[in-house]
Amino acid sequence: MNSVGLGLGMDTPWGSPRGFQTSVGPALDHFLAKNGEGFEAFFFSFQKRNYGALRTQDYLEAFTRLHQQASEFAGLINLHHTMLNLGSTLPYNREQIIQVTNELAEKVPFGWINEDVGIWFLEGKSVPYPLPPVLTESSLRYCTRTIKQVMQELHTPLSIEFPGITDGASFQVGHLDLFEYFADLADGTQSLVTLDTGHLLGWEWMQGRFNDEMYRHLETFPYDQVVEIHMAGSESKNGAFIDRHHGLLLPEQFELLDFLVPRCRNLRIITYEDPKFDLHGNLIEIAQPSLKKLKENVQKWKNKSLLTFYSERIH
Amino acid sequence: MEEQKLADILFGADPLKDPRLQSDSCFAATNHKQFGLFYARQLKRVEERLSQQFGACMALFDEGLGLSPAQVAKAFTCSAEYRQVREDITDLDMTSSARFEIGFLNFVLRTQEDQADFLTEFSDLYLRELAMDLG
Repeated sequence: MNSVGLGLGMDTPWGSPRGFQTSVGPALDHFLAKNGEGFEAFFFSFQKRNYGALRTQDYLEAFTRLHQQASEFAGLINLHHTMLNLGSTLPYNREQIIQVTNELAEKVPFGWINEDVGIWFLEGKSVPYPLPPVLTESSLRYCTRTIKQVMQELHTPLSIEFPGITDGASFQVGHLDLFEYFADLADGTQSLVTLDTGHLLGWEWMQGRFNDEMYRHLETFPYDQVVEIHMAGSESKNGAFIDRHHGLLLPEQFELLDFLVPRCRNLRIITYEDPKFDLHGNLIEIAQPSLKKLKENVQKWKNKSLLTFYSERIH
Repeated sequence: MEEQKLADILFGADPLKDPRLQSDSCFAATNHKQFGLFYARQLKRVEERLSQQFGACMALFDEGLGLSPAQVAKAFTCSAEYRQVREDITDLDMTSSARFEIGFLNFVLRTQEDQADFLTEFSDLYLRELAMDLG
């Protein structure tokens, strides 16, 4: 098992003090200055700045600045894409998106680029929450080809993420099981993989699988391909799962993390995703216990991997 | 393809009552309540975008025709003009913002053809706002 580090992942919309304005927004700037230390990896999101054509120069300055700032505490910086539309089976021209991504990555290097395998644009129209791919054999074949193609064209490794499932904005089309579909996709593309504990719980709970039944179902997966696990704020309401991204982690997410980490032998990062903070850059008080608990958990896994490393050397 | 069918339903006349949701095997596992909640969010998103992009012109629908922004958004999302809108960047010949705007203007012209007073007022207001935007 590799040594696991703690990561920080930020949603960085344009026009927000918590994301990008002309450059890094002031609240985000304060947050990183106050809280960055202790995080070994960092990702931010690549969202469209406006409704116009995508141009490298519109993003370069802000990305460079944020990258420099994050490099002061993190040794690994990644990009969370939102435009690759990897789960769609409709015609979608990625040429300009990939070109701009490669141009940005040349100036601002990333360890890997990840995106949830979902339908982010349906017939060219953005949707309120990315939909899971259509769960059919033909869609699986199509998405496998798409992802292989994107992997070839991107100059940075791609990590595919298990798509988000949330009560009130997600529904299923097709008969296959999303977890098994995603396992086949990971195996078929040999891409790096990101798992999100909330997204997994969202799907499993939606299918009525809880506790032991859920864990039995999650047993078979190409876990060796997993490099990152996301922990984003979530809520549980009468058995329904809501992907809130508000910084508060559920006990079920920590239980799932304990299940996943020993199986993911190439895991590099456990990421606290989308912390909520005020304009002065202070993490909101109610989220602080979640971050503290996550830090303790990551330390536990770090210690275990060190023990494994030394015991293997002794024997 | 199933995704095309989904788009046809979601951007069709009455998504929640579309018979394909009941009869087509690819929707057999679809939870209709969740589909309805998604559709409501989708409408809200279009309504917000219209309000953001057309400001006072949207209020005119309410004052002049008794149509709330939500009703306008609902009618627009199932129109032929909306089907041509792309909000992504895959059409490089024209920005998606302009495409969205032209799509909506065409929709207004087509659907309110017989409302001459409304159309006059709408175009006056639209041109005034456009002139202000252009400074």
